[in-house]
Amino acid sequence: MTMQKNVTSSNGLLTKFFGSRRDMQTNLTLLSMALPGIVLLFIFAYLPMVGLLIAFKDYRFADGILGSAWVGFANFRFLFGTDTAWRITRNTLLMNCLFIVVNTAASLTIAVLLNEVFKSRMTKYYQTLLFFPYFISWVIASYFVFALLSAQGGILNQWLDALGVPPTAWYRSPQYWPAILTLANLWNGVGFGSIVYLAGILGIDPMLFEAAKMDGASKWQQVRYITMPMLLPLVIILTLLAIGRIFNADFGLFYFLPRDTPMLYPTTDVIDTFVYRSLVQLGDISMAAAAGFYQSVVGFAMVVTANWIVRRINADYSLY
Amino acid sequence: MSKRTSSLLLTSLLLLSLLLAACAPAAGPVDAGEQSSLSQDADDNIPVVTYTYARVPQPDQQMVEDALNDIIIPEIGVKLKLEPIDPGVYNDKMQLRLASGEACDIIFTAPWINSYANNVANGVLYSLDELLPQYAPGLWNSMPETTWEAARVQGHIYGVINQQIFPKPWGVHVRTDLLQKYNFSLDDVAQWEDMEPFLAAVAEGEGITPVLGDNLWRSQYWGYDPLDDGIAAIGMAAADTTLTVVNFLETDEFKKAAEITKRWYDNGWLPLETLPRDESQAMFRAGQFAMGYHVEKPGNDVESKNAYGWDFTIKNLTDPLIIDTAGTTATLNAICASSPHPEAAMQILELFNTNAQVYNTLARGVEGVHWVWEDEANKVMRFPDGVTADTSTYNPNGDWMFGNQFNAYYRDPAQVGAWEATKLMNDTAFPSEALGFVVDRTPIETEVAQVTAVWKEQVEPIMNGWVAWDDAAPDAMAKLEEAGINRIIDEVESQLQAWKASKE
Repeated sequence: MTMQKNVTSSNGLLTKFFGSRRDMQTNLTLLSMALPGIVLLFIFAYLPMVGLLIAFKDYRFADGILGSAWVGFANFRFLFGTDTAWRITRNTLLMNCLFIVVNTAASLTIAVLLNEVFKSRMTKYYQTLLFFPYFISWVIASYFVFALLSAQGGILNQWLDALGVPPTAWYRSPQYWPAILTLANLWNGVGFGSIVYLAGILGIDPMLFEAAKMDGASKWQQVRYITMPMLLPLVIILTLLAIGRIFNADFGLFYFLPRDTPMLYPTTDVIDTFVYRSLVQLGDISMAAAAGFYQSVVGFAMVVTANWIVRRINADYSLY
Repeated sequence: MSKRTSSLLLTSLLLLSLLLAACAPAAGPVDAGEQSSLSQDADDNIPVVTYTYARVPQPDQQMVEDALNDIIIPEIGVKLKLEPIDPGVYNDKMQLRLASGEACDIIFTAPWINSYANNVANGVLYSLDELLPQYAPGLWNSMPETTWEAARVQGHIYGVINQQIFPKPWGVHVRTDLLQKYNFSLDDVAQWEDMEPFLAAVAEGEGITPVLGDNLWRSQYWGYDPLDDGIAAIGMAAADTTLTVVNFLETDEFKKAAEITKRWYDNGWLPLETLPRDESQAMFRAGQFAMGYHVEKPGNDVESKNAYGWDFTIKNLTDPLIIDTAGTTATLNAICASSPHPEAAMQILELFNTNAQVYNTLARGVEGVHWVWEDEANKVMRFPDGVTADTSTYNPNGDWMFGNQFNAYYRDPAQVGAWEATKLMNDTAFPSEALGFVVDRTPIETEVAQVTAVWKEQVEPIMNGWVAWDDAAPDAMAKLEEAGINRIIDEVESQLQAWKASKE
């Protein structure tokens, strides 16, 4: 009894992380299975954090990270000197919000529809067709979009021309791009989302639907009073996960589809593309690191806030 | 064996195999590549120097490398290894490599790709001040001291200037067949606007977009020295002895260039949007353009034919020709600070620049295989029978990248004398008052970053004729000021004055 007590107090910190010694012994197998994941997480997510120092240094390749001179917040000046920081933050947040809302709504609708035809032999084809774009790289997709929207010989402009509408220079009209990007993202992600929700629907106890039918509930009422409430936890978790990543824009989508056109930056420039451009065009690693650091800080705040709000509403649904 | 121990054992085995599987494929090739490219050659124990440059790797790369080493090894006892990297990714790859501290020997660097200024600022280049006269006397003496000044940054030379055309004779190259068809002569053409009757006729008669290009703002054409290619927004009138730095957007010349461009664009003489390079080249080959504009150096008609497949007539429209720092240092080969054999690398650069056989093997391939003599006395070569620029197995098409271009063999009898003509251009061009001055961007990095962003977004549309100068310029001007263009102008001006004072 006394011995046990001693062990616990001397290993106070360890106990806090891994539970008591007995817990550790019991769960040794599970812990060892988690080990590779933890090691990889450490290598790829924690070790590189040393690089954050670059944001506060005048980084010279020859001097290395630790050898370069400290410059305080000088690298952040170019972010906040103009309205750049505001613009990329706004674009990242608004576009991602739009994506979350549109994709969730579309995925849910398609999942419900697919469920209705689930016994049909065509279901597999529908699913594959919807899922297929998920595997197409944005680089390839950017060529589809260019073929469609190119001012000279683009398919869309040819159609418009046939209808008597004057052609539009899509790649120079930033106002259309929120819609174009949302559609592209929907095309890419809706198959994946609908399959997740379809799985959720199939997990609902069929007795509920049978009972509802006996009571004379219409299809719409079944969806409204059974499917939706039963899917709600799944929707919330997926949305929360998406909100957690709301500060990380899909680089491929935002960089390749607008073809890195400066005139489209007002609506298509997001933090990720901005960081990339600072790095390759200005060649200034410190400024790029500063922008990346800003993204991390605000992104972290977003996750914490989102989780806090959810916990206030319903603690069971929060992530931690 | 208890149940728990055995399950633990199984788990560990599983983990181990997972780890092995994850690590195995990654580790192998990386090591192998690193070993062979740098350091000593295991067999002969002679230094191996790697030359990294921005060209598409050619099918016969190895054959050419062997042929080069047949000349180089007996000459200086150094082995050369060629490492071409596709130009499209060269900049990104090199910046990443240099940032990660990976060793290199000779690299291609320039103001416009794998930035010379950035590389110097990052301390990754070897100072050549002592190596040049000692290990490359021929190269060192091939250019006057004033030319070398242009490559000097804060007192040190970090790059070898490739001798070629130094001024920028901006002009037009026009398809000869269309000139004849529409009975138009370039003799009377002295400025961009003089092309307009021809463009109108071609647009009407051929139903094509006549001009491949983006805009007509070319600072040297309008009499300006751009001072630093990395700061597009400022420059200096080349003849201005007071060394006054100007904001281009505010100049009358810029406004005029924008207005002509807009007229051409509105008339449908320019492509509706910037085309990807490969696509525009294919379109030109397919006859969808009638002319382009470029640095129309002597012999560019042949080079254009090589690229686009048509017969061209060229005309330089820039008068007077200006020689400035940016033009002089447009292409450089530098030695890495991390190179284990800087001396050997310098010897290689000496051969690139003074040995015509080495230079032409690198630029054109092996005699009898990739090219044959057309007229050896005049140094004119051609592709072997049945081989064209497209089907050649070694045609990197980048003479200006490798060394002194005046050592290049001509591709066409029509080119004979082009190097003499180019040299004459270099010697007679009017030197900018700021020739030899190099901007130190360190104190204005933030402003340069901001101004560059505004320039691309707000000024380029004006420049490209997409929006009218009158509509967009005031707003762009305000944005440039907000981004700090005046601080850049003040700083560069004071650097210029200090530079001038130091010269006297």
